[in-house]
Amino acid sequence: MTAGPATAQVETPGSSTKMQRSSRGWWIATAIILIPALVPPVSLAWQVITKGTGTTVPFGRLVELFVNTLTLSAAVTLTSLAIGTATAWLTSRTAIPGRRVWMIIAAMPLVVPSYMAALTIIGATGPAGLISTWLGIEIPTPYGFVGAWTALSVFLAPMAHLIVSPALRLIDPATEEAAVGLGASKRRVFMTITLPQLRPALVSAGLMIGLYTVSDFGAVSLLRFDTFTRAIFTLYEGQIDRRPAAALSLILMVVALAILFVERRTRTRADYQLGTTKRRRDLIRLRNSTRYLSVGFLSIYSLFSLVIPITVLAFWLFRGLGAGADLGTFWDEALRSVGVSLGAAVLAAAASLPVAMVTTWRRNRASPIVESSVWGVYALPHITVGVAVITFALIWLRPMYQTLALLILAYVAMFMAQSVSTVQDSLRRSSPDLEEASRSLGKSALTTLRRVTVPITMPGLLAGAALVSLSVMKELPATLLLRPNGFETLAIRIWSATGEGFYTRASVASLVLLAVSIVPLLALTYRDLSD
Amino acid sequence: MTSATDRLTIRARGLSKSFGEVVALNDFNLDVWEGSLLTILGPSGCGKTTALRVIAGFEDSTGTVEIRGRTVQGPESFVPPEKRRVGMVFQNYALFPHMNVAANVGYGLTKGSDPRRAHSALELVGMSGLGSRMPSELSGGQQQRVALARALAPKPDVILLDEPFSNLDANLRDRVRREMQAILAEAGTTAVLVTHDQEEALATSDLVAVMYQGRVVQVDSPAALYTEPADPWVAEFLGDSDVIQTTAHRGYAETELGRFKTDLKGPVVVVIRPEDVQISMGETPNSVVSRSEFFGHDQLITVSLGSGTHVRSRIGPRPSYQIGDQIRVRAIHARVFAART
Repeated sequence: MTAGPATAQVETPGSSTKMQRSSRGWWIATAIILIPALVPPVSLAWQVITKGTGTTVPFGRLVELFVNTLTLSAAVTLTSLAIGTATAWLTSRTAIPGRRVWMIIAAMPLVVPSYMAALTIIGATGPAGLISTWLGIEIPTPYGFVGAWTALSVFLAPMAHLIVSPALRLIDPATEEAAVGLGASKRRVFMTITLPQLRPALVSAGLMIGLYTVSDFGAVSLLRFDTFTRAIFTLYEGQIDRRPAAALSLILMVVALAILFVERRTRTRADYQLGTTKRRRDLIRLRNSTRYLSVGFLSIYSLFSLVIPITVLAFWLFRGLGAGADLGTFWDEALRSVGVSLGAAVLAAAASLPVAMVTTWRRNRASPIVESSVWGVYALPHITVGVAVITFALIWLRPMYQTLALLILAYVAMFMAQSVSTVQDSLRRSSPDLEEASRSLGKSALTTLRRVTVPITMPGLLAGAALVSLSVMKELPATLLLRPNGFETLAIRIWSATGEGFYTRASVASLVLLAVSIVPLLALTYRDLSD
Repeated sequence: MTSATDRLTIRARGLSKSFGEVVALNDFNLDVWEGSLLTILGPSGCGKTTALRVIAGFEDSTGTVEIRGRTVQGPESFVPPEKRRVGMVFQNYALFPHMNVAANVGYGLTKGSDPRRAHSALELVGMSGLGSRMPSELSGGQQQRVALARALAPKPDVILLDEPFSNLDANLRDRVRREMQAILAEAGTTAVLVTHDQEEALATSDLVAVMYQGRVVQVDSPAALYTEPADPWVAEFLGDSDVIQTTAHRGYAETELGRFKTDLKGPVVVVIRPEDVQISMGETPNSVVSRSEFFGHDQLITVSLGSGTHVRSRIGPRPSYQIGDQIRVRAIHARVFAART
């Protein structure tokens, strides 16, 4: 997937000298890599334009889907932002007991995929659920809006926590001290000084959470709330005519790209950072009553986001073991999950090197286009990517239809942005002079690639591969649509077993998935610690 | 090929290159003689780094570059950087962070070459005991010496140094500069150094090429550049000077500071260095002191001439002048150039 810089020996004068000689190879490689990235939007648009929409979805139904999707997205965004900002403020600004531990605990639920969150809600409630078995109180399973809203809010709050925490730390303490010096109360300082400076972080976190909710398939499908993604899947499964699914996918894709566009625009405009003060700030000492309340809030949040899910999974595991229930196979599923995620991770990391190269060391006017297409594909809801890739394969690449290769290529396109950003980070820490130094010392472009460029970017390549493998392991909707017949992964097993009521099997697969995810997660944490 | 060009290490002719609207090189010509140390001096943005990168092969351009008589860049040929036998010392040194000092210095040696060369290169720069250190464990001055050793080890035909001292502390810079000069002289290597620092250029080099807007405007010894600048821009760029606009006729350019011989006719500019402007108290005053700066070993007096033009005079610490003093100034030496049309 990587290509060395070109070494043209002969060149006629008068050809464009704007692009540096050594950039050409990287740009050609990038162009080839970006072709799959453009497949989803192009093939969907092509299908809808040339083949029409098929049996049209009634207008009323379309409105209903719009309202449902956007209502859920808005509700989840507001709730997650509120929870995440609270956990961020408490763990980075106040002197609550166990502050650092809470800081990590508040971020942890992010590793739980949304269908697993739905599984824990379903497994905890209902006549046979954990709550009814242990406490004797039967809570009906909250299918529909409430269930989807709860599941997504609890598990997306860490996203806000992770974005707001560093923003809180970056605020110059002097601005807050100046306000105190002018006689402002704590509350007034927070409302008029702290919160406005957090605005960029909040907007960015809010849009990310909103985008995620719009794209989510696992929670809404298991908790039976009709949004675009669920409707697309139903249309796809239930009809031989695939045109309506493609049409709906195209609409959802436009919604997602619109959200991404808004996010990019606000990001560039909203830079409130004036100067960076390295000075430490004193942590706020809360009054006893407030402190108990705060710790109580954090405890309740982690009860819902960590303790209950793990207990539910363990409950169903032991209940199944005790009753001698069929645990189902999970060893093969685990091997498949690990296999495809490793394959996609290695490919994605390799593909990121040229892309990161032309957007950092060999940046030119075309670089922003490369970046937007990589991030654009990353923002596309996975179910729409699935529908688009199938459409594409059926029309142009019939032999690839339902092959592992196509599935892995789709993963690479969807998640490459993650490894591109870690490799970019590695390259930015270093300088292109290193390559030139190697060339001037008599080494060819390929030797330079092998002995200088790749070793220097290795940390970024490894971190990128770890991130991509985590994402692939958790991915559900695209896998569901693109997998070869009978190719069951852990994610598929959890989803189908939950849907069919085999909670024991779903729990076993969930626990295995969490266990397997620990390896890349540890690799990433280790990197952050050694930095 | 004539015998004169045999001793030329670098011969660059008609190099031109622009990045979009910005012209980096505009008919750049340069000769570097074997064994010499030449400095390219110019303000930032004049294209000097681009010139170095074209010679090294990191950028292409129109025009030709020959290194030891071999055309490495021309209308029909381009030799890639790794085949040019050109050593480069980068502004930020560009040491490979994942290799230790010895591996860095040995990087450019081919398999067949004497492995002791890396060691002797380190010895040459006085770093022989530090081969197992990592670049991050070295001070700025040490990193610079390793970068120099790495460039010298493969015994290149020429070494190019891009602003080599700009990342060093001011008090370290002089010492490192002298050391580097000694090392280059001992190695007998031809070297081209690029800088925007006049003092560095004048103190270090055999020859200085002054560059302005993408071309070399004058190549000379440091002393000749200062005393015989080729045009008013060089005079103003190197050291202090004041410019008086006037007209020349009958072999003289007439100014309020005296008349100066010239072959030119019509509008001219007269460039005068402050140390050539003398003050005499007794005679009829022709100017008023408008500013006086005292530096200890000398002082700089700015006077306002009858026409309103300001001229500076550098004189010894005595006598002292007050603002408003009426004095007579005259220039004992000046250079006359045709006014730019």
